[in-house]
Amino acid sequence: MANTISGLAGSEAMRTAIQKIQLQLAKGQKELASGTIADEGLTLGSKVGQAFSLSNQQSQLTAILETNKLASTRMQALQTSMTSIMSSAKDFSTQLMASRSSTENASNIATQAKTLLASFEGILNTSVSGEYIFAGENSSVKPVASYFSTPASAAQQAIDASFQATFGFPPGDPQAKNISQADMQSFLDNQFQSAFDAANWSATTSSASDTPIKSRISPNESVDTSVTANEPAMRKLAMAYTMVAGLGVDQMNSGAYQATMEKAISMIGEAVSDLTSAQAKVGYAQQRVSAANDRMTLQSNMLESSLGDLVGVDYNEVTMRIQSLTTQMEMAYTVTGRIQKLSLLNFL
Amino acid sequence: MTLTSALNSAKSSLATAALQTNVTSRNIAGAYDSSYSRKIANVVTNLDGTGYVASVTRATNSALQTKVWGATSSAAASSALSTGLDQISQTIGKSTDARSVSSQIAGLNTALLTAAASPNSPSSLQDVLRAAQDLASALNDATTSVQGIRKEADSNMAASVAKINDLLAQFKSVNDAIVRGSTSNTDITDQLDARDRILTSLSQEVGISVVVGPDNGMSIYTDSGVALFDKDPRQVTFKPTSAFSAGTTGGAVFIDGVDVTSQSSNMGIKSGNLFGLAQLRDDVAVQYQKQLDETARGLINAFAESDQSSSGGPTQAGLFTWSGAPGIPPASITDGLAGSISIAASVDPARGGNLNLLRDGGISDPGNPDYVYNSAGTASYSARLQGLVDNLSGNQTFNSAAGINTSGSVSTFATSSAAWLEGLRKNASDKADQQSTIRDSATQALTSATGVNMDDELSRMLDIEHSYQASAKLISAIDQMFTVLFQAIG
Repeated sequence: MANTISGLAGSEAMRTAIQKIQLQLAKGQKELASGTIADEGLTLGSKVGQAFSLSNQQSQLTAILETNKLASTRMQALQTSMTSIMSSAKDFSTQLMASRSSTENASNIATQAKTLLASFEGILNTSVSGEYIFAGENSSVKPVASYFSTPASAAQQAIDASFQATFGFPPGDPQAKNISQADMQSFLDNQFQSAFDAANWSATTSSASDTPIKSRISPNESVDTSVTANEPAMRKLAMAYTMVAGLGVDQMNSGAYQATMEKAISMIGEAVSDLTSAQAKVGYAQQRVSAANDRMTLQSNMLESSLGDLVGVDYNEVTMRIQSLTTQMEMAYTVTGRIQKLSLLNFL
Repeated sequence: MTLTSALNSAKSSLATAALQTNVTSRNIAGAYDSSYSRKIANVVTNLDGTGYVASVTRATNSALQTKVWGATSSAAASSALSTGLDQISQTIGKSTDARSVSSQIAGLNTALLTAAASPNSPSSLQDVLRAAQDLASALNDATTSVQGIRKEADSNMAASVAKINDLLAQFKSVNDAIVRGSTSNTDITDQLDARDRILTSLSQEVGISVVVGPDNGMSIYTDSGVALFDKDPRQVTFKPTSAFSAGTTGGAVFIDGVDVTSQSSNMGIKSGNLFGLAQLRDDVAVQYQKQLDETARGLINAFAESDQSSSGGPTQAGLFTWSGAPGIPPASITDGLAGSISIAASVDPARGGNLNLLRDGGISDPGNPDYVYNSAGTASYSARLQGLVDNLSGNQTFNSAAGINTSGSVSTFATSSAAWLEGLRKNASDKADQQSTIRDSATQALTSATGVNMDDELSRMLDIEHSYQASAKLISAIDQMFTVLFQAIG
């Protein structure tokens, strides 16, 4: 009797086979629709951790690539601003050199310096999407206060007071023609210059933070991506403009006038060289950001393809699988129908 | 040989045919009942040539039957565990959707990176807060569902125990009938079928082994050797737990006073639905909860604030806080930490907090300058946010009781936890597939051997019909012969 098969066993076998095929079909359809394996956990088991960490790493890289765009925009704006500051400073310095020996142009030069100072302050107060780019970390506050304002700015008051204390009269007073070249030089080198040192600059004019903005440009790399209004270059340039615009050069004798011009020219010269190095620093940071971007894009693509290898499905394979499952299913149905007919009952 | 004895033979043949027809029609009726085994009418021929049905027996194969029970138990255990793990893995989902704790940590990391690049933007800080809230609620939800799954397993264990007690009571009456029938030599085949059916149901709940006595009475033992039935059913008891939280220990199942489900029990059962449920409730879910709790602790640590002044104050819980705040959780596992982790109110504008504390620090103790990182109060201060990004990927120590890596970043820890669970799930599911295939093929083999083949029964029916026709023909022939004889005499 071992060679007979019960009717129940026969139909049960067919039923479980059909059930299995149906499950497989549903899985295949899900995979075809989503492009990823139907149940990651069940297919990958503990390797699912790998899929998670790949996908997490990728989202981190995407976020950094996105924030690098912000840093790039800021640095681009910095470069443009510094280039424009530098070119007007250079032009002004040329003009000063041409007219340093004669006072006839003095009032004209002073007015020009005043305009240049205002535009310089304007550039330092540039904001990009609500953020003052020369303010360092203190980006929500306008970094420099205007020198010529009503009422007089703190910086102007301080300088006027020290001028008065040194010479006994305020800047622009007709008695200024009595100031000797040596006295003027000494005033500029000492009292005037100290009004623009880091401490006084921050106290009277600048509310920028000394800390530049640090950006994370790749998972393990950070660079300074800002230049602040407190940089020596900025202070020197402000000093040069202020001494020409605010000390009443039109009232001075040619000696004192020349001393002022010489000092302004040398300050602009120093400022230009400092600006160049600041620009180089930003340029270097820009270059590092772009290198990091290239690297991270590459890495992100690699991560994506590894993730694809892990959780993706091959459409051709899935389609083939569904096709053969469908064929199998049809066969199972046909066979079930045939077997149903194949009963002795139908032939008696 | 007389005509009378020929008539007797023919008559006995008719009686046998009637009984055989009875058996065959019983077989046909039971053809599609999986617990029905084919009945066989054993015909014996007397010395005088007459035949009769001496007994009715059933087709049986005890080796296959034992195998079916064993495979049923194993399949039930792995299927219970695998179903539970499927439910737990709902808290994980796919690597590409943001459901899991691991993906939520990555989301928070992304938000922090963006905020660190523009710390002066309230919307980017708001994104950090939202990501942190999502993460805290992912941990809360995971805890709720894990404990819910434990509660469900507990209720299922209670149902399983009730079913076992019920089956044992049914078993008692059927077994008694079999013992009685065996001694009085009546047809007990239907009772034997019923008894096997009860045992198949029982093997679904708990792994069993059986011993048959000389009177056909049966004793049942669990696969660990505890008696379930021996002349009388043994009491199976279980006290369900009304509510589960992390750290709750569920009650054990006792058979005849012996603990059979605790991990420490040396008489613990090894298969059956009950075993799978106990494993889920007391082992897997508990372990996973510990991992969630450790993840929560890792997060609280990563976001904790240290004293920035030199006054040496303690480290305090920051953005992520817990019931024991302001301190940070101890290094031992705090049960249910993942369920109680929340976002500090001091940083949530919806609860009157200040969003800027995310950037500046001082979440743990608003107003206390010692815990403020951004002492200058500048708008683009990013060091704290950058520090948090570093903390998220920084190494921490995790308790070894959680059963996965003891050192690594909180994000790796969460990923390993997901990997751990999915690994178990794959194993359980593979095992469940394998065991159910074994069960199906064993059942198939058993029904093939003991079930009914319709064609076979129909052809047997033809045989019986022919023998009946022949006997009837014989009787009418003998009748005619008698008639002829009587006419000759008359």
